[in-house]
Amino acid sequence: MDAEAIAKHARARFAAYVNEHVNPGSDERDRAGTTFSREMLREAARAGLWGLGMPKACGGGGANAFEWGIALEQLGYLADDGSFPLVVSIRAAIANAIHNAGRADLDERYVQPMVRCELFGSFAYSDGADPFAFNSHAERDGKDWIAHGEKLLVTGGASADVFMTYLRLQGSGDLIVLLIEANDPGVSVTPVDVTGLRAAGLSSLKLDGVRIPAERVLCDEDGVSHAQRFLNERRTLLACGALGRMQAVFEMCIDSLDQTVRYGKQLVEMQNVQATFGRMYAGIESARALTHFSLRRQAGLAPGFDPMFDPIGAAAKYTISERAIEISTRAFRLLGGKGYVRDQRIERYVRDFYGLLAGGGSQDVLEVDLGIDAISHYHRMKQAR
Amino acid sequence: MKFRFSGTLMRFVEFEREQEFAAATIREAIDGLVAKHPQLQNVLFTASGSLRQTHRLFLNGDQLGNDELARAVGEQDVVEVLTAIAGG
Repeated sequence: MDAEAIAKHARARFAAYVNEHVNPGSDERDRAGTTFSREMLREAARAGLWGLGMPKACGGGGANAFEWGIALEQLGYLADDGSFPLVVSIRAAIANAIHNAGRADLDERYVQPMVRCELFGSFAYSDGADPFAFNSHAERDGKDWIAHGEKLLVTGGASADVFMTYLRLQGSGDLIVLLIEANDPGVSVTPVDVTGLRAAGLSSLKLDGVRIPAERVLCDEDGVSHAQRFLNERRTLLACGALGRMQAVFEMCIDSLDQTVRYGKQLVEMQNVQATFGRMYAGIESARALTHFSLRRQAGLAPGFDPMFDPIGAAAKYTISERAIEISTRAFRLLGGKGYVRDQRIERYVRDFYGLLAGGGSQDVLEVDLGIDAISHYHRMKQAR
Repeated sequence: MKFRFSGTLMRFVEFEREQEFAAATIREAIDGLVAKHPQLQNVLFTASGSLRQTHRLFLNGDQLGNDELARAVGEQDVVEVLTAIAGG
């Protein structure tokens, strides 16, 4: 199927669920900073949405990155809560990462219940230091591991049952990846009061001498590479929801200015307004073209995907983030006082989009990584001529 | 042969972008590099001695597999080490 057909299919399939279960209450969730209820997410499973991007071998839909990314884009378009596609995508990403370990015991304990929407996973990585100097660490005690430290910002952490956690090993400095459960003694999860994406359940994870049995080691060495591979695959997908929301903001602006008359003319007939819509359109479509290209590469439908650091994927996430902030700012200018009213939700979308500046590889770090990659690529091409 | 570094790894090589070592193989040159900058051992290699997958090495522009460190090198050869590390 091409992108348009997948998008149409996803919209038709999920619109009723989103309109009935996600959009009502989004303002209240934003104000209170509460996350989605389990019952509401179970409805997503009943609608066939929840497991779509999860492994087929464990009962999931097995959608490839291209199909899944476009479905997330459409969820972002339909759902006026930017946290929703983000939370759905992180749960699927963790299920896939655990499944990729190729262990039947982990599939049975974690992945199958995740597909059934009975168990939620989160990614616990950043602790305020670079990964070669993490303060959060693990030490061996017989066959078990003892985990210490704190992970500062865990997306979906507030309702997670299991955390894919990266910890420095005392001595070697290597990172180990442990599956730490929310009810393990010594674990505490504290919601973090954040600017946007306030229903995404961003939380800190504290580990106070948490004992983890050997069978819950997901990766026993080179956790840095495990994390970078995971983040590389996740980078484009996590931004797809924002791409859909940009389109929704754009349409909302046209609709509003269609109905606004100044000096006897509809505002959409004014040339400066038309030019602004032209800029917004170019921003959205260029971000979409790059994103779909990135997803096709990631799905193996186009060549060239680099599993450790894919510059096209990084550029897609970078571009969506920048364009989303630009377009929502333009929406503020176009809508005037009307846009400043909270009910219009533009301010919420701006706050949500700001979450992308730091999440999934901060924009500034990606700029450096992309620049280094591009310079190196140029030198290699020059050498080959 | 010459190593060329950038970005994340610069601080582990005391911000010297290029470093030269007399060596017959890439592995031998890396040993010299690690002897000069011991903190690189844990950054480049896992506890069991494998090169971390997150590092991409290019010999004169051609990407090297992790099993190609035994390749012979000469004075004019350049190995570029690229490491893109981002947070979550």
